[in-house]
Amino acid sequence: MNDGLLTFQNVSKVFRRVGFGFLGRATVQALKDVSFSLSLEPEVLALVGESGSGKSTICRLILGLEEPTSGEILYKGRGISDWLKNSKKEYIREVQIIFQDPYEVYNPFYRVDRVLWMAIKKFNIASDNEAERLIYESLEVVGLRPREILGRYPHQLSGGERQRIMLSRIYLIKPRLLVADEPVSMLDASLRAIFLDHLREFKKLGISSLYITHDLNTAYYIADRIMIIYSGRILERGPTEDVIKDPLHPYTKMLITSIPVPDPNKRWQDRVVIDIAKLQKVSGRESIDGCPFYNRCQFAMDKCESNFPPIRRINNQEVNCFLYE
Amino acid sequence: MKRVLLILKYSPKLTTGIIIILSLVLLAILEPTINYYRLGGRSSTEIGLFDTFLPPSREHPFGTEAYGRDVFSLLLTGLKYSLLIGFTAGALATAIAVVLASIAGYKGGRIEAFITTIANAILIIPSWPILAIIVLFVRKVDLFLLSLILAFFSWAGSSRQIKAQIASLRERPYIDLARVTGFSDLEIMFKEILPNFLPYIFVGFSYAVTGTIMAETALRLVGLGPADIPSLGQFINWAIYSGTLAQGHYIIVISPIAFLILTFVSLNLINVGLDEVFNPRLKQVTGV
Amino acid sequence: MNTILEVENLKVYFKTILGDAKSVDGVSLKVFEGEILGIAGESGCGKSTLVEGVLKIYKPPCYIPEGKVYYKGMDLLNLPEEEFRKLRWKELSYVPQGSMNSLNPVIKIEEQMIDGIMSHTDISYREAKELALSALNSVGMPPDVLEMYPHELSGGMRQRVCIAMSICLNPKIVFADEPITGLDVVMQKLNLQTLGDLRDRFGITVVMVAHDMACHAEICDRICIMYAGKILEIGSTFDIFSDPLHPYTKGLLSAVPSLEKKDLKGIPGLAPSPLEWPSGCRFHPRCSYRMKICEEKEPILKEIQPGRSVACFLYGGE
Repeated sequence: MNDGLLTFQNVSKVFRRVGFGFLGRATVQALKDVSFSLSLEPEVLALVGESGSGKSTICRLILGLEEPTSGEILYKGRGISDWLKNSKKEYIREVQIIFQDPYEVYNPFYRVDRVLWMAIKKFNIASDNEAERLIYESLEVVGLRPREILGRYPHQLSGGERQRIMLSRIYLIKPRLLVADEPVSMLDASLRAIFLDHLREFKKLGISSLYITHDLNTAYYIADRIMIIYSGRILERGPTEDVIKDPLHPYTKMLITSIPVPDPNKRWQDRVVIDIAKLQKVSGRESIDGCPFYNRCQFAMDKCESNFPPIRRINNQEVNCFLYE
Repeated sequence: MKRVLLILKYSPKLTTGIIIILSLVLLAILEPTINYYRLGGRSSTEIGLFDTFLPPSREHPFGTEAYGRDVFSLLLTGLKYSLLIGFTAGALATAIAVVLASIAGYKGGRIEAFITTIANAILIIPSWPILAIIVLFVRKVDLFLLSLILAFFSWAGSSRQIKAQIASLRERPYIDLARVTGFSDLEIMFKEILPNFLPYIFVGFSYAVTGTIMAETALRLVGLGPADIPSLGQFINWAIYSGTLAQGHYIIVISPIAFLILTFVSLNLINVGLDEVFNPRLKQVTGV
Repeated sequence: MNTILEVENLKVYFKTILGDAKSVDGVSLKVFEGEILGIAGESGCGKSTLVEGVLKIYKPPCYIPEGKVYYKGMDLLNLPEEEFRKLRWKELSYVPQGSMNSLNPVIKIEEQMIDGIMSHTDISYREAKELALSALNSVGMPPDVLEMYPHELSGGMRQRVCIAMSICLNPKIVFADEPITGLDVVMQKLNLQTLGDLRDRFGITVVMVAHDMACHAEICDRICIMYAGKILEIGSTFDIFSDPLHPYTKGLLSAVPSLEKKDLKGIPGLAPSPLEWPSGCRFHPRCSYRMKICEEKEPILKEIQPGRSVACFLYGGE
């Protein structure tokens, strides 16, 4: 298991909320026993989950912006905490990110090209003479005209332009691993495909990507493998084609049938039935030992409530569900 | 520069505020020159220079007061000292606020708790009576010491605001981006966070100026503070205790009050204008 | 089909320090009674502003330089605000974007719904509660919800409460602005189906603004495609999806990701700015079919088949 590029070993993360009186003692289990691995071969791995499923926590853990409560995260066989302590520069040079929000990621006080200059300076990518040429190149690669970008302030550019500058930053840094946290969710549909194609280009350049998203459609378009995360647990994983065409976990199935098809001839035939129990927000998640999908699952069994099913391997897929014992 | 002009065009409030305060400051700066020519080199506070209670005329636009001094000259002198005290104390208060808030926001934990406690204490304790007592007991109060004492009681409010601002800025994605680009904590504090709360620093500054001018005026009204600093408050004090109102010479009392109000209004207009321009909700529209 | 609402050459501008942002720049549109009309387009195309303009709920610096909106023969934009207020909710109601976050978290749903109802009609608390209950029932929510606080409900459920609130007074038209954005897929499906029910079961006309073409495919009867403050194409959902005419519509549809196809194509270039729309046809800088005339002249929205209009020189449009 240690020979992957990035390996999560039974990683859990608990957030303690400090706040109002005894209520403030509440803890939130953001991740529970998460294990997965990215191979050394460049690949695009999609991590698909709803909001609050813990997918952004995974992203912050990888970048060292948070520390795991338990478990270990290895990069090239070496613990991340060790990397950050002893060779931080190298680590952040190799592991980079594209954030979700193309607006908030720019400091409104500075011109946009500062993010590129800073990357060059901090990572000693090039000398000052060469830097300008590299910036021009990297902007052109992502389809921007440098003249229209350089020297502008963030608010003067559209979301699409700003997110592309983030792409060109990645072209400059050329990390080994890119964590893309919902990079297209705030972009228009017409720009998404163009943006995602760059992740494919990155793969050719030897950059692996962890593509974090709530949108199975785009995951299907770009990813080699898919992992489905729900409420801090990974429920199913496998090659993209298999997971989408033959989902195993009831949750994955529900997700897939809920996605509207852009074809008026294929409208939904079934209806979502509301169960009053489901009306209440799922709370008390922190103490669940069983399957987190238990109270929404139509196949729920007694044992699902208190035990989390072990991984079952079925063909190329892996699923955590007692239906496949 | 073009940006600045656009901002001024967009917010008439900000423009008006800036114009008023700049004119007041200009008057205060020119005070020695103007008074030199008007009074022939004699001090505006010298008693018995003219007859008492002369009505407004070409020579004395606001007339003269109970001690035979030219009201207009006294006004200019008062304005100079009031603004001087206000700006000195305001700058000191803002400096204290920024330094303490940055330390609190940056260090967190116990130091933050300590600073917050002191700030809250100053906010809660009725500071003016204490201020009065201190000024009463300190032997010799000069302008700087007075400003320092005033500043000590007026940094807490803006320090709290700035700290809240730092706390919210700290969570922005661009801070995360700076972190993964290898910025140190100090660089993040000074290069990424600080520039973004400059407007708030100015807002805190102008509140502090307003507050200290008010506190100083209040001290003067009850007869405290250094008599050799003839600020607007001192002028009002003289006017009131010489029975000016009783004799119906309202303009002598109203004119210094009007100058004070003008100062407060202009600073407040600047605050509101800055909020208009830099408020994140409206930013999309203003495009600043 | 009866026209229930007619928009004529409506313009909605924003004053900014750089000049007018022409968010909606001359839109004409008919809404038929009992239909579900989808307004589609990308961010900044003016689709939400269009609805705000029609309902006159914009705030400065937004203003309407010209245009007419007729509802049942009434000229809405010239109606005194007092009269218009009576129409909102009762006849024309609105579910704003992100409305699930607009409920006050510390006030019970019951109070918020009833307050809303009573501020628009002169009825007793009891009658208002009846209305609230029947509205909740219509969107398939149990009466217990009245006793709950918004924070006890998930985002999707709060959104349903907002939909319920919009139909309390039995309106003729419901305008829903991005009703499912930011919800998880299952909730998206549930809420889309609820919007469909408003028409199917209660005959309410629905105008849905959404950027996601797949949502339009699910429930809309007709779709109107907006770009850069203009309508480029209007047609029935089936026509639009099976045979898109305008190059922009074609591009938009081929950019919609789906689990059924693996080829996605984006539209090259970037969306223009409302401060300075391109000359001629506003889509021409990004259009692969562009001709010389497209840069010079603006095509008009022309009906080329019954119920099918397109603004493009490829199909006349002069």
